[in-house]
Amino acid sequence: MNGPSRRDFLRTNALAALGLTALGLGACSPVSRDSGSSNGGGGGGGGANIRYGWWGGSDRQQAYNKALAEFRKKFPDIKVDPEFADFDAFQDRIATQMAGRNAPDVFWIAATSVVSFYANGMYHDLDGLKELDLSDFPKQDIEEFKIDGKLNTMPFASFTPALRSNATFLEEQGAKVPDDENWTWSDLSEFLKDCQKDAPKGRRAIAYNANADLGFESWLRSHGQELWTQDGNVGWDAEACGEWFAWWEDLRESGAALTLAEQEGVSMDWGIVGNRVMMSLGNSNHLTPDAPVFPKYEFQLHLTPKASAGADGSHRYVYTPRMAIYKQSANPEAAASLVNFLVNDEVMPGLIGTTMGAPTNPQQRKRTYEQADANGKKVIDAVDRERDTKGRKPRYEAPAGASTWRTDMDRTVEAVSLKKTSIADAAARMTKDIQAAIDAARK
Amino acid sequence: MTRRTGPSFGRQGRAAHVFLTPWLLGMFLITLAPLLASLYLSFTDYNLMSDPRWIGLDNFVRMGADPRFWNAVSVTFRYVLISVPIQLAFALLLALVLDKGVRGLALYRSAYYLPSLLGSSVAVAILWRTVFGDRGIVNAALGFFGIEATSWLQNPATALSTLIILNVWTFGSPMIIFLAGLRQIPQAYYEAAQVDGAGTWRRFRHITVPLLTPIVFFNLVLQIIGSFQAFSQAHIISGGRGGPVDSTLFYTLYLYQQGFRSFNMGYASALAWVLLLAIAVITAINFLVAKYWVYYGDE
Amino acid sequence: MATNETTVSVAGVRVRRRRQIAGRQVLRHVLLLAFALVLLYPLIWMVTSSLKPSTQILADPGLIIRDFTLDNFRIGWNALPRPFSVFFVNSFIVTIGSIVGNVVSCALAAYAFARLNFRGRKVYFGIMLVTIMLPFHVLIVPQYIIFSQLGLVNTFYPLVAPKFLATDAFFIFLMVQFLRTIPRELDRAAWVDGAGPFATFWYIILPLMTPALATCAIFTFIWTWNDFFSPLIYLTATPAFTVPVALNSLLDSETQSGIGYLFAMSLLSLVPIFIFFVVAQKYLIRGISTTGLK
Repeated sequence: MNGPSRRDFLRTNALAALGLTALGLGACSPVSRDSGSSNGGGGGGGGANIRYGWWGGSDRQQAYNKALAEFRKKFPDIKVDPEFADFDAFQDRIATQMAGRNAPDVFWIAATSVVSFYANGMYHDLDGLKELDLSDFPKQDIEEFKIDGKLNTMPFASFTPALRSNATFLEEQGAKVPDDENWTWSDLSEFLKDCQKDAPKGRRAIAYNANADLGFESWLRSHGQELWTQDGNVGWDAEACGEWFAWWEDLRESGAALTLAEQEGVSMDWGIVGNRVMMSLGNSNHLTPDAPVFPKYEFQLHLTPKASAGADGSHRYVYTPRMAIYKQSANPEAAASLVNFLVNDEVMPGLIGTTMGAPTNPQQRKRTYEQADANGKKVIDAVDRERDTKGRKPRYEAPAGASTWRTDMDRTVEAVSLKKTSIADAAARMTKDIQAAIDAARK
Repeated sequence: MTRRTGPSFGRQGRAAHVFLTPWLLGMFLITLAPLLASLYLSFTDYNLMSDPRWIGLDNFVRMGADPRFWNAVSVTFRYVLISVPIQLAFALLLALVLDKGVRGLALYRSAYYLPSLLGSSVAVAILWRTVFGDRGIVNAALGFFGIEATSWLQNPATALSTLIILNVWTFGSPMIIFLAGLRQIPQAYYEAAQVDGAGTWRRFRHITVPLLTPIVFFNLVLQIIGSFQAFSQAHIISGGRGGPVDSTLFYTLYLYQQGFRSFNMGYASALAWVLLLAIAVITAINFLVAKYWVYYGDE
Repeated sequence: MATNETTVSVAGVRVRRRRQIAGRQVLRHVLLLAFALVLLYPLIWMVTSSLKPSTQILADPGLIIRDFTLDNFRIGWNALPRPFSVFFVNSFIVTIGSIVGNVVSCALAAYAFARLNFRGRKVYFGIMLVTIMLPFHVLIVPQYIIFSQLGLVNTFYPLVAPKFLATDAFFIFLMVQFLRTIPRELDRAAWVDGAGPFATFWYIILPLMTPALATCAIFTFIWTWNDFFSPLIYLTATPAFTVPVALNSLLDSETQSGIGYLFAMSLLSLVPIFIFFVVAQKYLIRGISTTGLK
């Protein structure tokens, strides 16, 4: 052995020692150091430690962190650990946490998991928790919130399917969106084709939104069907589903809708689509983050069409994202205080705005409206217009086993639009597969 | 091993167990239990939330009639068969070129390695769209020659190829291993050969090639295993779906969808064990064949 | 090469040869550079994009920057509830811990597998290979259950402790293959001189393994630094985020806002790995060739 290599070796050893020390210093939790226990032990000391899980992008992460700081001021005894992630990552994580019986005390629930989690006993009953004050809510609404007759999840916001138009573009070519109160799907289709005639090169009348889940549900309801039945089955037939695909394919083939290649996939990516289309179909609340991406344009929201001109508005509906308290929460009271704060507290509207649409609490909705900018007001108006429709039919959440129906839908839209199968076959296969997955989960 | 020199067999055995202590602890404490748990789960219906229910071989039977399973198998095999040889050839070629005292070697080596550093960052999805998307650089270049094309990522016929290119793009890792392997070859061998009058080609053929075979073998085995498990890149590029129309639905991506999205962790575990068996068989064949072409300096 | 050049004078051959070599060198550099540019185009695009206002990145893709701005870096650094410095520190702790763990534990195991004879060696080796083959996604749930039962969620233990127990079997295999390229005469000689397995490992094998150890360190750095799923599951609270988890939470997958921040912060996150790579690659070339084994 010669000198240099031994020196190297000593250096390596020194480095290893350094690393070990760093590890020793850092190994204690970066979280629990200032909070005692990360598993929400709470108990003895009077103070409780709970975890709050939600999803979104950086803006929503910031907004809710500010809300949690306000909560901390009001409830100095309750420490809330934020558990944030983007939507997809959040779903992966909470699935793992559920398996480990270690979910956050309060968490948001993806639309497709609401019933699945319920069926597996993941929710704490909200009825007995006095910390949660529901006096602002109309009785009718609370009844609508219930699943299986029990209030076990808390809908905290509401949004609707909506057509969004780029008013700047439409004005440029002198087009005017027809009265949306009474238009039909074929009115819309004709309007879009008309718009396309005068469109400048590279611009299309509408994005290819055949996989929009709320839009599809709206189509089904306007055609006298529903997405899910009360007893937890597929609520549509292959024919209605096929007509939906055909409606989009007709637009695409006539050149009025973008192709999947042009928009880089079935799921609309606003950053690359926003300056190329006059209209799009999606969730009303997405106007809040989307509008600032193209600050030069003015956008409007419109109701989705009816099937025929004379039809009533019973197909209209409002979608309400939900949160819940975890069944095995060690501190359900503290968790209920947090839920109560999030849905009722006066500071919330100023912090959250319309990122999740309109609050379900009418008082909060009013406060939010007063503080909102022009686009925020449009988001709340869209919800109010649907809500004010008389005789809305009830809607039901996706049953257990249907958790992947949207990816199935994406795949089917691709197959249809790329002409891999006939529309009828694709619609039949998708309808059958989704029902089969529901049946399998019921076993 | 014909003659035993050095410490006795017993002493070696005791020493071996000391050296292996961390690994054995890790095996029993961290790896083995989850491994066996997943084996057990593969015979159950398990939705992550309620207790697993024993259903015998149902999960394995179900695979036979699952068209998406067979599609995933076919996608994965195509990916392995095409991307592994191309990536390894690239890596070996550049390692050999860069090993030959090129000026600025460190610079090139770093530049070529940069793509691998990006890993599976979310940014890759957007990057790949600017290259292969509808209005990406590839189409811009083709347009220059008057060829019109649409998004390569959204065309089921070409989507898998873009992922293969993405994998080849990150050839840095095997290249580094090749480079390290080349440097591991004792210089004394080359000097001795030069004294004997062997030319560059003969030195390459009779020293470099045989002494590099363990590293080639290692890269081959690992790349095959890694490609069968390919997940991150497809997951990011297709947003976790494996689209369009399942054309990039890798086996592990399907497994992940089943486990974490459809809450069929029992079925996902069964899929995992079938994959493990397949990889084990292929690796075993690799080891058997290795006897004929891999040369170990320690034998 | 050039063994048939006997027809011209010795001096002529030399000159021609030198020209040939110079020409070949230039050609080689041109090719290598061109190749590097093709490879690096996406990254160059990312750099220029990060210097544009966020709204222009997708609307106006191209390498030209019309409105230069550092906002993506300035605001992006603070776009989350904690500044990115917190996430960088977390990533460093996990990464350095993992490197030390992997290098130490895998080198020990590799030596045993490659050089020592003991009962069950083949079986152990087979088991080790099997652990590389099972997809990670079915292991994560049982592993999560173990660590959450131990109350170790939101600590660095689930990410670092396994590395000290050689669970990244990939590196054991890597080092075994490296060791097997080293002639046995070297350690036989030490054994004949009376050195035991420990002394042999410490004084002979370990210094010879420098390239393999450096490779292991480089890969561990990159993989740990970029690892997303494990930190996502185990480090759930914002102050505990590692850089990839933080990056992921910058971008809203529904609306794709925040691309500018994502690019800027992704580029910053490349800096430490790149520096580490540039430094560590020096050790890649310190095999037997340069330690001057006599």
